[in-house]
Amino acid sequence: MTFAAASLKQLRAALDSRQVSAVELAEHFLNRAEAAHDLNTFLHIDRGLTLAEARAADARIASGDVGALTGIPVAHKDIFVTQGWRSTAGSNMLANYVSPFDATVVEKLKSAGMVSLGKLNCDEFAMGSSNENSAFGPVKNPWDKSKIPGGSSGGSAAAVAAGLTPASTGTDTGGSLRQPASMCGITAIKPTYGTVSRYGMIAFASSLDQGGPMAKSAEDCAILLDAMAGFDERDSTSVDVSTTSRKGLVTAPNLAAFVEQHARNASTGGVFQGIRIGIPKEFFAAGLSADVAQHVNLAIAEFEKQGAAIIELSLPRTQLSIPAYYVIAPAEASSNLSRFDGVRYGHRAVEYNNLGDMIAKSRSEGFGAEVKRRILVGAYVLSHGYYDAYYLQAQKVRRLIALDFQDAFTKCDFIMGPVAPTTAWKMGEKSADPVAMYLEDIFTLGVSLAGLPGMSVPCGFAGDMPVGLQIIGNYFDEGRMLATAHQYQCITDWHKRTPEVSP
Amino acid sequence: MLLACLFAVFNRFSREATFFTTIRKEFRFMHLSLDDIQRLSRLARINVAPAESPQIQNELNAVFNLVEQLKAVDTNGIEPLCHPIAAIEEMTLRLRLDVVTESDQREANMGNAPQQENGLFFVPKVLE
Repeated sequence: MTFAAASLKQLRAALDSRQVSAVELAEHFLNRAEAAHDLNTFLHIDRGLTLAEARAADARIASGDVGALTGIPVAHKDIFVTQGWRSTAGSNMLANYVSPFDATVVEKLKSAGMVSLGKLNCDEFAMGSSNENSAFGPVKNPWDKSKIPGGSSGGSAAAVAAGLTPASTGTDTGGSLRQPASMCGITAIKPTYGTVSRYGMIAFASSLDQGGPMAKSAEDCAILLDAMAGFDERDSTSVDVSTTSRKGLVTAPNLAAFVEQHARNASTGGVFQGIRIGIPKEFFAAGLSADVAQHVNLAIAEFEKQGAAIIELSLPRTQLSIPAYYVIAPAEASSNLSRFDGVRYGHRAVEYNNLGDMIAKSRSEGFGAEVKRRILVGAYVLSHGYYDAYYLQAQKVRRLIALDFQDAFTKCDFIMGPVAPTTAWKMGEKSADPVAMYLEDIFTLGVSLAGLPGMSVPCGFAGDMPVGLQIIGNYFDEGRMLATAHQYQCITDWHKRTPEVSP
Repeated sequence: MLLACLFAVFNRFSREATFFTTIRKEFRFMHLSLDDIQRLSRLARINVAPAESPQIQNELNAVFNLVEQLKAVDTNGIEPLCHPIAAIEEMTLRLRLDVVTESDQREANMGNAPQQENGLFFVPKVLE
């Protein structure tokens, strides 16, 4: 076992047995990250800050104050604000921004003893599906450096796939955890909306934004989500599951224990006995590439072979999730990004005539093309005379989409299908036509609009490129989703494949 | 009856065959004029130079052609969904108590100011 390929449990055992110290582990991954700098995954590394955290973790380990994650390295998507490291959101607007506080997710992982390796590249303000919208250059896919890693959490996915960090954080507004995980061959879970605090996550579309872990396996994701999730009064839409009708489900911080226990108790006559898997026909329609369809179908056949019941169903408004999303997300973005005025923080233009000119010039210079496009779209759909026809109508369609999922969950436990219609594409291939890229989000947007938990789990390779299986659960059903994904990973080894990276 | 069945079959066929193409169908009309682009530019405080206006107009019109299909959806009697969990139960947004919870972070918060003077954000003259 190399540390780069180790699971979180293996790293825990290595730290606890003093085979390695937290400082040595941090240095190991920092060296790998620096050697693989051509992938452009990291935006900010600061050895001094990382090693100080590692020394503190070693002190905790020496004193016996040890949790599941103490001393294990992690790297954060540059959407989470961090004290010390710059927080840029992949934008020139925040190129030199250093946050006076840590995001809740960062703070929680730090107090669990995780050692931060730095900040990871992403599409500007998390707007994009290819990571080509980063102001600091695109991330390369470690499986093929001429291809995109997916987006917007492209740096987070590529860094885990290349073994530059054992785990990373990401965010998902319309598929930004699941799609890059699928394209880089790693595992990620977007939990139910309201599960992971948005406090300190630089806002894109607040009614959709949700943080989550990215790692090599469902088992690792369960351990990470246990530490990341939890009610936070500083996030006005944070949900305490015990106050909802879904109370009683296994949720954080008991996910990892449940996954382990579930694996022990698995029936020998087919590990998926009693599980009903819904297959929406809209996810397998024209538009899905044949090679992705083939591997997703093989994965579903594996579930069936191991006892799961396969139920064909319909999510009739799948196609409408694209227009609904591309009204709601830009509307909320235009509102959220109005805070960037060049007065209190962020980029300020050098020359201007007056206050209004200063604000407009600062925003025009600071934001990239896709961000500006979405702000303009958002300004239009929220403007007087158009609000009802666009924004309100989209929010009503959103409810219909969410109700379609609830209807589906009366017939099944999970919904499965592809994450994206294709594997990772060549850099530059779709960047000239923004709307063409929007269409690629077809299988992930509905889950985001409905606020449901969704995972990407590696399920095969089309040529040299990884394919992800999407597992969608009902609200707060992360425990069963992770346990099921872990069972799948106990009988397959797609998640153990790693790309050859130079160091 | 037969006609209805045929219609259903046709509908299904056309829906699947045109999974992606319907949303890109060339029923393009000029949704936004160049004047609209200038108006949006002022509303959003994003400068759009006259030279780049036609390109921005094309790109935004492509987005609006995509979202146009929302208008055909019957949403009579459907409430908008703001917090996703409200799809399954009543959700009320929490309000915090109207009390001071933050300590004084003035210096830390001023640390990112592009320009400041005497501990205040510096901006060009607002009143002539």
